[in-house]
Amino acid sequence: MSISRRIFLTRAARAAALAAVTASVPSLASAGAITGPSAEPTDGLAWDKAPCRFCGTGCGVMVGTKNGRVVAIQGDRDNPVNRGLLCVKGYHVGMALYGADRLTRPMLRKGGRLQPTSWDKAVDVVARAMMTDHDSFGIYGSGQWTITEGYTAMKMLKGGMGSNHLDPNARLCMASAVVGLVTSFGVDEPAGCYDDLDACDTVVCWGNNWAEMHPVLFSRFVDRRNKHEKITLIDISTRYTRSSEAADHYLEFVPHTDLAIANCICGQLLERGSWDKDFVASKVRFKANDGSDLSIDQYRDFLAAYTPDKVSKLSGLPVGQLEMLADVFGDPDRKVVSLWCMGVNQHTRGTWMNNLIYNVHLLSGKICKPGSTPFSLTGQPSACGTCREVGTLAHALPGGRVVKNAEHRQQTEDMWNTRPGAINATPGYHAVAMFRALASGDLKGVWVQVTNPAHSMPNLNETLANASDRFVVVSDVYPTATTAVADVVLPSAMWVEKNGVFGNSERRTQQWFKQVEPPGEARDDVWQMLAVAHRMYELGFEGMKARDGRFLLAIRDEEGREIETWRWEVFQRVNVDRVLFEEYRAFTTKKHKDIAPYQEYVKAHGLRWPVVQDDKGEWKETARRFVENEDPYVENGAGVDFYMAKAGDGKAIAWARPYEPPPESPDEEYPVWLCTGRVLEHWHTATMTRRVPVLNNAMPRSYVELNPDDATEMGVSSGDKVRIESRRGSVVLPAWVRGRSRPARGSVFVPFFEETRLINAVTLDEYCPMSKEPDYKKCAVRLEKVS
Amino acid sequence: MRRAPGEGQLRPGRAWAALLSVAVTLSCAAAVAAEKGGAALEAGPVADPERLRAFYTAPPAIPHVVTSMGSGECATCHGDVRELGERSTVETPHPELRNCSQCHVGVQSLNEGLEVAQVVNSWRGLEFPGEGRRAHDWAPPVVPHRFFFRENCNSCHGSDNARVAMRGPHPERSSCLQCHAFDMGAEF
Amino acid sequence: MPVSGLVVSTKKGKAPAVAERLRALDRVQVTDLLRDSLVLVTETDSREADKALWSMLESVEDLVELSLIYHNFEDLGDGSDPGLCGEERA
Repeated sequence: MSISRRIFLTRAARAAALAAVTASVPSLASAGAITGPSAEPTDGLAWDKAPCRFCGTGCGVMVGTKNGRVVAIQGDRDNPVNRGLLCVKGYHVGMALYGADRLTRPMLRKGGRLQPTSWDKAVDVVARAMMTDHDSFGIYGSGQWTITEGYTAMKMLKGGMGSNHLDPNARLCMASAVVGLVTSFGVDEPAGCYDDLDACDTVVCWGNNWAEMHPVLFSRFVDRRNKHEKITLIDISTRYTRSSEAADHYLEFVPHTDLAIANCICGQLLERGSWDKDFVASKVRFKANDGSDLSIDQYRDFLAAYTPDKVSKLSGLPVGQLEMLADVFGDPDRKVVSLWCMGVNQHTRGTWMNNLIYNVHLLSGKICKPGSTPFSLTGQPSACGTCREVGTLAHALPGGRVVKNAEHRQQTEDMWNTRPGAINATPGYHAVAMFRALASGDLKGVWVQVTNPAHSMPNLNETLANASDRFVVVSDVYPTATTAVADVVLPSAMWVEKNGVFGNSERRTQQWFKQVEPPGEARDDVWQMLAVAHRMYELGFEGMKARDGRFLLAIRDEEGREIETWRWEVFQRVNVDRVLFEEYRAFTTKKHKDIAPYQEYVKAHGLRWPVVQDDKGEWKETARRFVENEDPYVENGAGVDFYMAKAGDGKAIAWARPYEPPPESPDEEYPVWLCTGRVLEHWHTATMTRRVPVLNNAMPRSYVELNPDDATEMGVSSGDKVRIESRRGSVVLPAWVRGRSRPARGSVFVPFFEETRLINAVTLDEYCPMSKEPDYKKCAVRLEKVS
Repeated sequence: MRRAPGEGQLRPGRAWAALLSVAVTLSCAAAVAAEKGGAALEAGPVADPERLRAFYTAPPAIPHVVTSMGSGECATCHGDVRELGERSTVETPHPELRNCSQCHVGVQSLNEGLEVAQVVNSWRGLEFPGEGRRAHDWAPPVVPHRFFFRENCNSCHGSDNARVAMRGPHPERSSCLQCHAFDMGAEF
Repeated sequence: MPVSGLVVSTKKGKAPAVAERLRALDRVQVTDLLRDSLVLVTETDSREADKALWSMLESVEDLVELSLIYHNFEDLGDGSDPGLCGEERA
């Protein structure tokens, strides 16, 4: 039977059955129902699970669909992350699909304007461009990519085109966390999990505003007060936020001195003798910044520069507050969770700061215990699941492998069945470098997917210079600042318009099924890549040939027959997500990040890896890594084992990282600190959330938040227009005083979501030399009232 | 209750259909079409509270100015039914959840005088249930809505509730669930 | 390949759970999820395989009733009696 006849028959089968059931076939299940005057509200309504489209908390959502559209959203009560609760973005996430200017047709730029075209034409144009410039073409991806989208991009670019110029926007968000974890523990991703928020008695926040950014986790913790639990929230921050309002202690520090504060706590633990001697002796090694080993006494000497008096002068924290932190960490009975996100990661010494928080927990032994853990919060819904685990980074390969390692390259080439030697051994451009290379012409083209660099890159005027002269392909769902400079715009399916899998902050991989059709001609990102790759294969591009000369990115069924998934009508009939997920699984065991078969995620409300089969054949997730009886890779009797330690000794490393001033501090010309960030209502560049009426109405526009005393001195009140200018650019914004947060004196805060007033024209593009992550949290500006 | 002049008025109607006729293309090249919010929110009880919700069971938006930073002050008015002149407040049905601003956001919650770009969105939300069904004319109506998040009957059906139409006719009886059954089909 | 359209009735509120169990099976595609019913499309190699699959479906937990609505086996060519052939049951 031909495929098209078969498709026709399956559709007929479905249509007939659907007609039968909706014509009220009486069923046993509804026998005895009360009949009455009004229609039941849930008639024809179908519900299915999905992880939320937005932040790295990864709440479980139930999506209500009717007549092919999403009509309602509820929290998934069976999901252990959020237990039925969402935040305002989550409750309205279904509306993000229905903005009026949704992209529905592929477009090519002709004569300066984007004109609609066919998919065949668009695919051909992209394929030819990538073939022509195959070693100077990049893919800029995203922590909002599903796992198989990231995986397909890897296979296409790294396996097929021999290029490592693949980096995600997660470089701007989690890179410091990744390098911090790898340098301290030998492997990425947190040891603890959200259960630790239920078990702890103290949470210390390091420069993050979780009341707005991870609200469901925030309320999970603070709502424990309703049960009369004695819990303590300590907020170490550079500005007073909603999180501070809920805190028992608010500690306001001078930007960048968090490095010194962490070292001060460690110094105090050693001086007072309140460090966990047994744990440190057996599980911790000390290293100097240059990598040489240190004895604990040498480490103690290093910390002599960080006494409470000295750090108090540097950071602005009173000595009493520094000592209080040392009391908290030095108390062996206290269960402490440290949380952090962009304040620590978007930092020119972000890697060091991650290491230093780990030092505090390692010295105090508050790690790998229920309720005691340093927990790095993730920003995006799948920065972990996709970028970090699939390795969609310029230097990486899937499953914790790296391009520099010949064995890793060979394993990957074998699993992908590429020609031997296909993978390039030299790391490619990381995010900021990629756009600088585009500006200089070293990179000829870039395919941007699920992200908006023309809005979110730092120091936009320089970083995005000449972008419109280069060949830019953008796959997205709405017009954005980046589609405005694109040569090719490809309309994409979003969220529940396609099958997908995400991985959240606590290593929980969560699957969902497609529930509604994408609008117009919008198509899955995976399909787009398969189509372009196949077009390159048709045009004879060697890289797209597997070892046996067949198509490298072929999808095969159980009998080994190739399915023509580059054809859209065929792609839709097959669960390609499942096939690619199963292929990717094989990569995950190397660093004990095992993920389970796809079907397990269908059944579950997410599973935290490593997921391993027990002797009864059941798949069991892992709550806490490196801990005996919880982590299947820790042997009995080992207690805590950091089994991925590079030295093979099962020990974590405490790095002696110094304080170093930031690259740009306020001076006479530019006397004010600028901090940028997000707000509760908007997600990143707000291309989705500003099209949701509830969210747009709640936060319709951006502003510059000033300290009330500073505002009084300047003669500025709320609503007055203020110019914020740095050495790089300027922007005019309305002031907000006594609003949602209170910046410290001499500093301002600007949320970055507003497209028509891009604060990133002002921000600094210096980055941590280890992680390459830029610092959006501090640069020097001057303010001027303009109205 | 404070009202800021020029504060946006949510469009009436049960479904959050297209809000205004001004379409906005949120791309760099296009200017944002701004429009000041419509007439001030009318004085008096919020006649159609459903228009504060994007769909049945969505958390309602806040129809008044909110000036506090976080959620600490919400309970002052919403911890109980409070009379304020001719108005009274809605008692929260879920006092155990204290981080109010996580789910309930304002409308034009910034200071007055700021422009709001209205966006066109074709969302049609899940309809609200009608009245509870009755097995016969004298039977107590079945509860037509879900129980989750609505465990406190009094917060909407109490005798001093601002929305007169919602007040229960027999407030002297407090054991509601004795007669009013749940339709577990509504419990999604 | 015989292509069939079936309607499944589930225990009240259990349609999503049954849908998940059915999605895990080969040859079965859950195309619609309604309140307490599902629409399935199945595709097997033979009528015997059809019958074996349907018997197996009937034993799925929380499944109350299975109705065959559409059945097409035009490519089998075994000359067998057409029987039910794509007729809708109202």
